[in-house]
Order: sequence, then structure tokens, then C-alpha cells
Amino acid sequence: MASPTDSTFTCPSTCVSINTTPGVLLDKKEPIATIEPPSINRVLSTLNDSRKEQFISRLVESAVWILETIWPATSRVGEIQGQFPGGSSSVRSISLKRFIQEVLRRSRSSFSTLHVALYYLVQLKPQIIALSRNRSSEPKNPAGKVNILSCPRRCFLSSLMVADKFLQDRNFSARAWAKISGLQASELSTNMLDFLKALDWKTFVAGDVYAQWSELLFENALLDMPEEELNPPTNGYEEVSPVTVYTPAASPVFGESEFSRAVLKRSFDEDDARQTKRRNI
Amino acid sequence: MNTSSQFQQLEKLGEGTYATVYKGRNRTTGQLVALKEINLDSEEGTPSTAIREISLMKELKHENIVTLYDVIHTENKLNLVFEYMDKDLKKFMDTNGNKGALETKQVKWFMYQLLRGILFCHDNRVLHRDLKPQNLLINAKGQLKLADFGLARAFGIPVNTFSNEVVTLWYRAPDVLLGSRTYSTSIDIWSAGCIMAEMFTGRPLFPGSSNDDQLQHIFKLMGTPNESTWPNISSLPNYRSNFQVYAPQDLRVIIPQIDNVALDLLLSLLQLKPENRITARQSLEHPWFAEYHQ
Repeated sequence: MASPTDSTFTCPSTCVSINTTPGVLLDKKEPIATIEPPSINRVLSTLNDSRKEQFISRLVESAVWILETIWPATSRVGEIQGQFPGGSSSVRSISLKRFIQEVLRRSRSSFSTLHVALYYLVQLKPQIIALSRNRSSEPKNPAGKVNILSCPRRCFLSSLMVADKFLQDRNFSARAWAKISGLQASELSTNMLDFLKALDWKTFVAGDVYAQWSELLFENALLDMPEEELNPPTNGYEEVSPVTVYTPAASPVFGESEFSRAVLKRSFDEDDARQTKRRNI
Repeated sequence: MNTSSQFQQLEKLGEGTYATVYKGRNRTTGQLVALKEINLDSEEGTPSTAIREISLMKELKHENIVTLYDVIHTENKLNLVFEYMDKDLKKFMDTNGNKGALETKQVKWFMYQLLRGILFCHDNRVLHRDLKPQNLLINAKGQLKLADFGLARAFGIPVNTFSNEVVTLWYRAPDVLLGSRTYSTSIDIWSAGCIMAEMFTGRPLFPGSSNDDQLQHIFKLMGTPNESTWPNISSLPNYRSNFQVYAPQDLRVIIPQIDNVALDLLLSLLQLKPENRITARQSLEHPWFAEYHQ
């Protein structure tokens, strides 16, 4: 019997991973509006650089944790087996955390886009678990078409693309997301449509639902931070800011120059250790 | 699944920027539908207009909002299956009006339904952002329903891109024309005011040809706003201190038949300063609609 942790539920070898070539920061048009005085900006402004770094890193870890909860067995398999779709041997697969960081940084996604994207993934969790249970008894798809729900990275990327299109008035085309992710625009378009169908097109998130979800993610990211430095955003959506997770200039968290093979290698090791630790808890 | 197997495609009803609408008939039930066909471009991905229209219309189930029955995906097309409506308000005015102008009783009934549809959107934290006669559909029973939610958006979640290129020029609120990006529900209310006047006269109220010309049309009739009538107006991006100064005109010059109660509602809808505009909820309680208040 296949269980949700069955190792046969693997990400295909073409699993999306980030093109590690630096310098693909796109010329996304300047954000054209900011509504409401952003309290997260205020929170971030009360934090010094290293705290800010920690806060954002925690937020990304929450995202990783959510993906690992939804895909218990595959998130790591994918990163180990994954190859950059271009097939170049000079590019290597990276950890899920790095993948998320890079996608967020290159797409200049806002906190709200990330939060909504994670919300969509949580909505799909029952379908994904059911798929992983049924997978081993299922005959191989002759066309070799990947079910997008079996790949956490593809799903995360599709979810972010959908959240961006639903929320923002200016969006990247699939072509631009192709530059961000390294996948073909045509595949991204297909994935996005498959993702929307799995979601039954229910991309609307009610304001109060968003407020609670967002608060949960922020609180989690602020957990264990020294209290005197914090002014947590607990007052609902009007208080939550539209600032981007990573500013256009490469953040200190993740400068381009750092992004070397050595760092990647280290990130594999760190990620493995972290996940082993988590499993042992 | 194939649309042609389920629905018989009949004549073309209209063509938009991102979709073509056909009349269709359900082969099994004989029911008439409207089929909105959207071409999918693999380089662009699913258009945001389609994502919004589908997801918002799944949420907004109301008798004054067009019903979305189904979404059918074929190879490179999306087909949205909507309830069939006979014509849009523009065509209704052309066919049933006196040179386009409708009877007061008819204007009142359509305005009431329009404002109910708007209230339902706003209560669900959705801005329509493209209200105009062509996007209001009328069926044989005389029901009016809001359609075309391609420009609509939810406003419960903070965003960093909020376009001011919304609403067809003639129905665009002065705050949006002046470059405001903090607009909210009041932009739909301005459009409703423009539509009300148009139903009375048969002609668009402010038929501008550019952003500046549109402001000029509005100021000529409603008066040129200034710091005392609209505090902080000068901080809006498109504000100019050398706007030609006009005094407000009496709207009865263009709508001679309008009674005082209707005029009061119209003026409440067409307030230049967005915060002064009546809300959808308040407008439905206006004395002009007293006959519907039971």
C-alpha cells in the first residue's frame, strides 16, 4: 500500500529548479500604487538588518514548512534528483528554501502575493494527498504528462503566478516567469491552467480569511524575536503592508555574489541537516 | 470536452479586447446561453481578466449579476458559459427609448437594480471598475444584471499595483482622472451617476476624448473643484493649478424632465470629491426609490 510518504511519489527528473545564472532580475514596472500605510513596513523599519534578514528568512521557512507538510516525501527527493530543465551541466539543483527565496526575489513578489499563494496550496492539500495515495496503483501516463500536483516546486510557482494575476494590476507574462524560473513559457502556461482547474478557479480569498492567515504567517515569522524590537501586525488586513518580500536590489539575505556553487553545496547540507532534525522532533 | 458537442454555437453577439461572445444553445436542454470565448496564448498565460472574471463570478451569486454556469477548456480556448441575456442597456435604449431616452419609471427601475448589483459587489469587497451601459445586460423580463468582470478586483487584500487605467473614459471618476490610486467603491458610484443621466437623455453625460478633455467635460457641468471644495486635490498627480474655472451648472438644463427627488440622487452620485459620493447602500434608501421600500 502506498502511503503519503511513499518514496515512489517522486518528483520527475525535469522537476523545476532555479537557473543559477545571476542577473536575470527583470525590469518589472515600478509598483504603481500603494494603499494604506503599511504596518509591516513599520515592523521592518524597527528591525535592524540582521533581524530583518531573520524575519524574512523565517517567512520563507514557513513557506518551506507548508510545502513539506503538503508533500511529505517529495520536496527533498525533487531537489536531489532535480535537474535544471535546460539540461546544462553547469547548473545544479538547489534546496527548496533557496528555490523559494530565489523565485520571490526575482519576481519581486509582495507579502500578500506570497501569503495568497500559500493559501491556495493549503486549499489543494487534500487533493495532493489523495493523489499521492493513489499514485502507485495508477498506470503511467503514456504521454508522460506530469500531474502538476505531484511537484511542489511547479505548484509553488503556479500558485505564485495565479496569486500575482489575481491580486496585482500589473503582471508578468508567462514569458517573464520563464526567465524567472528557467521553465518554458508554454509549460508554465499549461501548469497554471492545470493549477487553476485543480483549484476550481476559486482564487478569491475573503478579506477576513486573508487577515487571519496572514497574521498567522507573520506571527510565526516573528516568533522568538526579542519583544522590545517588535510591533507585530495583529490588526487585520488593513494593517498588512503591500511591500515586497525582497527589495529589487538584491537583499543582504541573498546577494547575487553569494550565489555560488559553494553556497549551493552548503545549502544542500544545511537543508538536509535541518530536515533530519525536524523529522526527529 | 468540446463546446460544440454540448452547445450549438449561434450568432456572434459581441467582440471585446480579450474575448468573443456568441449566442449558444444547450443541445440537451435547449436552453440559450452566452458563450464567451477566450483565446489562450502560451507566451502570456491565462489572462488575468479571465482569472478574475471566473473567480469573482463564482463568488457573486445575485439576481442583478449575470450567472456563470460553467467553464469549458478546450485545447487553446476557454469558454465561459453565461446565462443568456437579450441585450445590453445601450441597445435597449436605442431600441426602446425615444432617441435613446427612457421614461422616468424605466430609469428608476434600472437604477434600482444597478445599485443593488453594485451593493452586492461592494458588500463582497469587489470593485467592478468598468460600469457602462454596454456592460449592463437586460433580459426579456426587464431584469438588469451586471456583466463583464474582467477589470474587477477584490479589495480586501493589500496590493502594490493598483491601476488608474480603469473604467471606460466617459464613466471614469474625476479622482481617477486626476491620477488617484487610492480609489475605492466610490468609482463605481460615479459610473452609476453617468449611466443614470444617460438613461434620461439618451446621450452620454461626459463624452470626453482624452483624459484632459474628460476632466474639462466634467468641470464644465459640475464646476471646477479647488482646495476649498476638495481639500488636498492639488496633491493628486494630474492636478493643474491652471484648470479653467467653471461654475456648477443646473443639470436640469440637460435633463429638463428630471424631478427634484431624482435630481437629488443624481447629484449625490456625481459628487466630485469621492468621499462625498453616496454609497450604494445609502442610495438604495434614497426617497426616489420609496415605491420599492416596503
